[in-house]
Amino acid sequence: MQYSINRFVVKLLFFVFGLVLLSCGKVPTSEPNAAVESFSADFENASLANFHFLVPDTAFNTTIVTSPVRKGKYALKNSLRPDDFTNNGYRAELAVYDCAKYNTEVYYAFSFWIDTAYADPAYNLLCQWQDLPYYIQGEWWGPTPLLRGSSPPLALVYADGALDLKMNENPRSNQEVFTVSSVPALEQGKWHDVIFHCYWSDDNSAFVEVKLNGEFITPFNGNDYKYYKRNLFNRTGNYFKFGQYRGKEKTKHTNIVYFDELKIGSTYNAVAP
Amino acid sequence: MRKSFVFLFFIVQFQSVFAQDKNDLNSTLFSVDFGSMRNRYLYPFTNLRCSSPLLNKVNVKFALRVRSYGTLFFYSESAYDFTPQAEYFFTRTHKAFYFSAGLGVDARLRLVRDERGSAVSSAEAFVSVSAHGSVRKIKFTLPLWTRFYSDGIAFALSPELSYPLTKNSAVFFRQEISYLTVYKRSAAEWRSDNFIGAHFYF
Repeated sequence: MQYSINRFVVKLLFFVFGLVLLSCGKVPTSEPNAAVESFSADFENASLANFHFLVPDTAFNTTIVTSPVRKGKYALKNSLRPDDFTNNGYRAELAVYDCAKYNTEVYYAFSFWIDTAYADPAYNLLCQWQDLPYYIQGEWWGPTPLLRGSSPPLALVYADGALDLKMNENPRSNQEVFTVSSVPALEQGKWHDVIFHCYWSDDNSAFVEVKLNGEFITPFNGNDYKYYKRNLFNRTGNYFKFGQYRGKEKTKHTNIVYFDELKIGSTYNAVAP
Repeated sequence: MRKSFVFLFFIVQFQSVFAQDKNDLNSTLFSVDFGSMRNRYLYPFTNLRCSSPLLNKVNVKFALRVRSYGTLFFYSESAYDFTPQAEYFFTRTHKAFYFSAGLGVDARLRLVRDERGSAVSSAEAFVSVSAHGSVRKIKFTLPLWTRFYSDGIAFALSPELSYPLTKNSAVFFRQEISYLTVYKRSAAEWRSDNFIGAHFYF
C-alpha cells in the first residue's frame, strides 16, 4: 500500500514538473516602467517614413512645405477636405506607436500653426492619445456586440477658435468627455509651441501637465500644474496621433494646420523647442 | 427568437429523457456561459465547458473548457483559450460539502496581429483546488486556480452559485477574480469578470 502511494506521488510530481515546463508564456499583464523610446520628427529630411498613416490621400493631406516653418527648412502641411474620410472618421492623422506605455512618464512636444483661412467652428482634434484593446488578455477592436468605442482618454481639441485640453474617463461613453483647460481665443497664423508632460496609468496616479508657448495651461493644483486623472483604460497603453480628426462631423471647408518639431522623450529638455 | 427556441428545446428534451437526479459527479456536464463585466468596461466572453462523470475505478473526471474572447456568439476572430483539466474528487457520492483538486493546461491562442500589441499564443500549467457544496437547492463551487507562467504566477478565485431549473439543467452566476503578478518587476493586476450561464446534465 505504502509502495503504491509513493509511486503515485512520484508520478504526480513528474506530471506537475511537466506541466510547469509547459508554462512557456508570460503573465498576461503589462509590465510597468518600460523604457521611453525617443521619437523626433522635424521633417528636415522631407520624409514621413517613421509614421503610421491614417490619411485618405497622402499626396494631398500630408505634404512637406518650406513655409511656414518653426525651425529648419521644412514643416508638415496637414490639409483636411470635407470628404476626407478614412478609418471610420473624417481625418488626416499621423500616428506614433509605443510611446504611451503603462506607468511611464513621457514628454511630448510639437509646434502648430492654424491657417488664417481656417473657418469651421466644429471640433477638430489636433492630437490625441487613443486607447487600445487589451490584446494580451484577448481583446481586439471589434467585439460583438460592440460595448465600447469612446472618445480618447486625452486630446487637444481646436473648436470655434478655442484650444481645449479634453479628457474622457469613461471607456463606454462619448458623453462624459470633460475639459481640463481652455485657451479661449487662439491666434491663427502664428506658431504655437505645446509641451505635454504625462504619466500614464490606469488609476488616478496618472497626470497630465501642459505648457502652451511657455505658460502652463493646466490648472494649478496647489503644488504644481499636474492634473491628476486616470488616462489609460487598460494597461496596454495608448498611442499618439496628430493632425486633424473630426470624427463623424463633416465640415464645409478645407482646413489647414501646419506642424513642426514633433518630439517625444523622457525629459523636458529632450523635447523643448 | 430562434435561439430562445433552441434553448427551450434543450431544457425540455433533457428534462424528459432522464429520470435520475443528475449532478456534477455522476453525469456528463455541458455548460455554456456568457458575459463579462471587466474592471472598467464591458467586454464579451463566451465559455463552453464539457466534463465527464467520475471514472469507474478512481474519483477522477476530465473536463475541457473553450473560452472565446470578443463575442457572445462563440466564433471569435481575436482569441481563444483551450483548457483541458483532470480533477480528483474526494468523494464518489454527492454530499453537502466536498473537495476536489486538479491539474490542467491553459493554452492561449491569440489570433490578432497588431503592431500596437504584444499578444502571443502560449500554454500554461495550472493546479486547482475547489470546495463544492449545496444549501437546499442552491449549489456552490469555489475553485482556486493557480497558473504558472515563465515570469510569474496568477491566482483566480471563481465562486459560482447555481440554481436548478429542471432535473437536468441549472442556471448559474460566476465571478472570476484574478490576481496576476510578475516575479521580477513586482507588477500586479487585479481583474474581475462576471458570467451568467447554464449547466446541462446528460
